[in-house]
Amino acid sequence: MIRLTALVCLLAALLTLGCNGSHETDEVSFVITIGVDAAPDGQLNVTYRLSKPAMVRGEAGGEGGGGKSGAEPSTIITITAPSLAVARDLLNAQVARVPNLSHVKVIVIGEELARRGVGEVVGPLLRFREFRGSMFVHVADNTTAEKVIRTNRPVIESLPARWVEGMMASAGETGYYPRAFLHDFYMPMKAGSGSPYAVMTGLSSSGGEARPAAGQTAGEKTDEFLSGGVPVRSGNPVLLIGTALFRGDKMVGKLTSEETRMFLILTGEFRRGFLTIQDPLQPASVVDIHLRLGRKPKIAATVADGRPVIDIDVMLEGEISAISSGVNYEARAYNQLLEEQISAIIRQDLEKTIRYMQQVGSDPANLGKYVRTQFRTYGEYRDFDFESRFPSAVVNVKVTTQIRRTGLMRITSPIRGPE
Amino acid sequence: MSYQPGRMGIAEGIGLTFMVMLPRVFLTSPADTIAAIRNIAWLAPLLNWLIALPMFYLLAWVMARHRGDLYAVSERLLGRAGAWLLAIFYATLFILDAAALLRQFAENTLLTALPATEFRIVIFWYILFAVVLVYFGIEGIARACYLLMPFVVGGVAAVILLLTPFYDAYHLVPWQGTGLLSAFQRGLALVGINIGGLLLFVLAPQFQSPATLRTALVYGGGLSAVLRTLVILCFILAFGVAQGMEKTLPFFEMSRLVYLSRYIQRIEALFIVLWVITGLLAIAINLYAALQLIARPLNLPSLRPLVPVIAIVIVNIAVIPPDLNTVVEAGNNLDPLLSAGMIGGPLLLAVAEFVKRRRKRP
Repeated sequence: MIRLTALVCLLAALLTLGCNGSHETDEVSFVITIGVDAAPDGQLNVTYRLSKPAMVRGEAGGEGGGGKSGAEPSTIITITAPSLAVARDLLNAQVARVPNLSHVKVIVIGEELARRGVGEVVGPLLRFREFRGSMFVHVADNTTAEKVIRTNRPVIESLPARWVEGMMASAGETGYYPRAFLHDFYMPMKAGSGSPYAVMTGLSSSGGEARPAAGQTAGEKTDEFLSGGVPVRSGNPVLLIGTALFRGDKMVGKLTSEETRMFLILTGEFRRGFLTIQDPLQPASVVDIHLRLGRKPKIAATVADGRPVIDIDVMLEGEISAISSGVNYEARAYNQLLEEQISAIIRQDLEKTIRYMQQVGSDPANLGKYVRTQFRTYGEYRDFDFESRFPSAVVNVKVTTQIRRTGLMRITSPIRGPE
Repeated sequence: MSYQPGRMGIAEGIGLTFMVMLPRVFLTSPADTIAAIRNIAWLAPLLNWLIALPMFYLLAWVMARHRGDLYAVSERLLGRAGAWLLAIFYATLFILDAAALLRQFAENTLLTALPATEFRIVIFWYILFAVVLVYFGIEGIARACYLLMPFVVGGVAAVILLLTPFYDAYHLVPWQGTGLLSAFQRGLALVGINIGGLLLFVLAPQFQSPATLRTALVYGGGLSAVLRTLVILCFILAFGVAQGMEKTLPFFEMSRLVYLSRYIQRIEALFIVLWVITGLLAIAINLYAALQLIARPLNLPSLRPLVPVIAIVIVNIAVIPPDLNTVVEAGNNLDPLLSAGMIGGPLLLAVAEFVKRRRKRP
């Protein structure tokens, strides 16, 4: 009897498991990017970039892979619909495969829709099983998501999905844009502190001419950019630079490349990046420093007379990567001048960025979470309503810098020439 | 199959206790607890375990003074009618618990892994495998539980470790949540989720001595309580309170969020197997406990004829709620009843033992 039962169970397991509701891989069409834009009458323009498996195989296989060289590895389809769910169904009316969203890498939101509010778009994303919190969220800077997706021509990666993942993985190399997951975007929309943020993506339209988005801080030689002003002459016209700030579900502001670095310093996620500063002793020359956080910023908060008081202590470490003047900044006496200059620049930039965040009422660095420690219960903190008090919060910033290394040169000898 | 299940030791006891107390952590329970007591929700599993443990010790104390299983001891202390009532009460609890687990695991399988499959097919396979497990006997189930324990612990630990980049310790403050009193009340309300541990007393003669029972309960139940605590703690660390209480399946959401690199992501499918197996074993253990508690008062020579009957009863109860939210709500409504069983039964037997002893004194 036991043998018969075991045999029946084994056969049932072999014959039925995994077959219910399954799809063969050549019956499925994988979406890798979704763009959402505002359309008239409350509708949405939803743009899908779908992977073309045969072309992808060719790319991956190289010459011997049997692929079709020069063919696009993906196709783009735009649909106007009242919701993402209807758009997905309409997509199936055109594509002879079952659309599958479980491999979506990024959702790009048009700026107009972002400013109108994205609650109705983002909410369903976390409810539907095919989406994950580990998708990235981008906002199209001053343009539509459709245009960004259609214009995007990665120059090294031929697969758009790899381009997105590569860009996000290398976000820490410069600190010019954050790595914003859907999870990070959605959580502050519901939590009692913090604000959603997204990566700004846009098209370079300057024709190679630099159009900085803001003036330089005293002593600094690095320009601040948004995508439209980056002096790019060729290559992929689509750039990731800056951060979109939200209050609730509405976009309320933008951080430039430099402000984004400050925001990442506050969250402790700034990994490294070059900073070009004015030479303290020869102002016509510049010094390049490779900066990184010496430790996570120490942030403490109190409440005084109903106002949050936030003390921020940032410690940076630097490595000299270029000295154009020939001044011997490797020596400790000169070294200190550089450290003081860097600290002053970063402090001013941090204060400016925080002031801007307070002005637009958005707290992407989640400074509010430090205030939570002042309360015993969840109800007390909710009643305090940090969001409404954030604009009037007193924020004290202290920055110290330590030049740890001087690159592969320990001394700068003067360039020989006519006296 | 006789209702005398054979000889078991500490390992089998630990396996059974661990597996029957754990499965709710894979369901909506953590999100419910967060909704109830907010930031301090992680403390609730530890509290309910600390409340349940003295009850188990109390029962072990009573059992140490008599020979036999829970029914035999109840008969001696409460009389035949009292023992019948107690056995039927506990059998009902185990049946209801099995039905609640069956429906929730079936629904969650549809929700996560097999969205296009018919509900009837999923629930059929769940109960069929529970029935097959019970046919093989509790010894086999207990050993399977013990063998699977490292994989379950390892799987949960893997998800917890892989999510480290998403943790933010500030999600735990304000640390008192809705207050210490409400945390204690929640811990008390959920004490019933440990009721599966009573199975060891139902099978007491097979566990050699009350010391074996106590050891199995402390280690099996303790490990389960620690894992439940860690899962809720890490879920809050990763999702925060406001988002955390929205989720239907916290553990599944945790595994879905894992993203270390383009190569280590989308790994939730690996962990679905983990909680499906845990759920299957827990349903089988509850089914076995109910059968044992029905067979003993009736003095049946074998459990086997009852297996399909009780399984069909469990399926019929499981399909009564019209939707998943009602199932979760019904599960929550079952908690006070389970807690009453967890606290009331041991207390009643301890009081009866105490009174009987006093009467015996000259």
